[in-house]
Amino acid sequence: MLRHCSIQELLEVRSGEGSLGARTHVDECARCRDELDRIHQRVAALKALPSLNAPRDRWSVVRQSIVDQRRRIWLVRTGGVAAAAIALALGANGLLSWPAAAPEQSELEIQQLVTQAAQLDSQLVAVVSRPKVVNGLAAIAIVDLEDQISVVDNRIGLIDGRVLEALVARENSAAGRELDAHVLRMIAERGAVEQQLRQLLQERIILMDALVNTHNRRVVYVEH
Amino acid sequence: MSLAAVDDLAIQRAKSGDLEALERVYRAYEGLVYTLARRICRTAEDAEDVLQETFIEVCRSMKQFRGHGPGSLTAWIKRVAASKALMRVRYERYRVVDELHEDMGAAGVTDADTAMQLDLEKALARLSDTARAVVWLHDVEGYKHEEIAEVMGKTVSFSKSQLSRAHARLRMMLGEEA
Repeated sequence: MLRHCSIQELLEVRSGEGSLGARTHVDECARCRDELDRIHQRVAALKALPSLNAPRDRWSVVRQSIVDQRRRIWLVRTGGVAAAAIALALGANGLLSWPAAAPEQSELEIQQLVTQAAQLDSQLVAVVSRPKVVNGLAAIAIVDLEDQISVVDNRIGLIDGRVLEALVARENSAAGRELDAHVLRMIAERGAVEQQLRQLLQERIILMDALVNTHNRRVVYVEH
Repeated sequence: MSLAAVDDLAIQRAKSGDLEALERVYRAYEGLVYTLARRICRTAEDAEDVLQETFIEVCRSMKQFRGHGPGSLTAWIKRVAASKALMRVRYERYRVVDELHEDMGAAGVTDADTAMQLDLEKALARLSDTARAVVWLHDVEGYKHEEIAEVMGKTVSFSKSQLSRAHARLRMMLGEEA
């Protein structure tokens, strides 16, 4: 090369992609070598810039967003669509040809739990819309209960995910494709899935009841 | 909290939706994400928003994270953060700023190294949004031009020309002209 390298050519040489002409030139030209050194130093200085800390803690916003999202999923479920999907996928109407073991009773029990949980959701909506004063202990208890409910909702969501997988697999099966091992195992474990869902629903009801009571205590205090 | 606080067990717990484990991930990575966002975005407020958006996305998508170990978690979180920051750079209507930001110029200078760092920070802040994003992603985060082109929705040659323009501007602003 009869001219000096451009910055782009030097950057390419730095990243090992430079042309033979550019590399040879850099080897022979002190000015271009200096320029390449400066690029190296600049990049090193950029990498050495200090880490920065966010001026405000955003975790509470992130956490609330997760809790709200899980709650929205739950509310949609108790709104009927997903509740029906759970019941159907768990064996009613023979959707997945689960091994028959009193499916009607199981379905009924799960639907009762879902209804009970939905009633508590409605109570909570009513109670939080009334005047409120939050003392420190109540606030801590509410956040703790909301966190626990959120975790339960997430676990119910994971079961829901498996159910949806099974529904998709069933569609595939109806289309002539074979059910995969995961779905077959899920069908074989129907009892365990139902049991897990019942336990989670019961756990959610207990936690929701505690949450509604905590809010209620607060409201009673304010109204007197 | 350091990255070492997020081990395989914590990752598994976070994937199952455990809020305590998710908070641990947030605490370990918030500095890294904020730094990346602050270097790419023009304002501290935008960087804070990117921090928040990144972790909402990370927490929601954690169960789909298929990587193994803290190393791949770091790479994944940085990728989410870079994508959020670039989206902000792309869609925000930044006012044209050629003067220096107040929060960058006022700190006391104690020694030559700090002065050089401040100069570099000022120079970095004065680059165009795109050039700053490209130089940070390529030179500091180790992205390849192909990857930058993909996340920015541009061509490889665009990324290369932005990098070379950024270095030319930095050289001029830092008084390195030969």
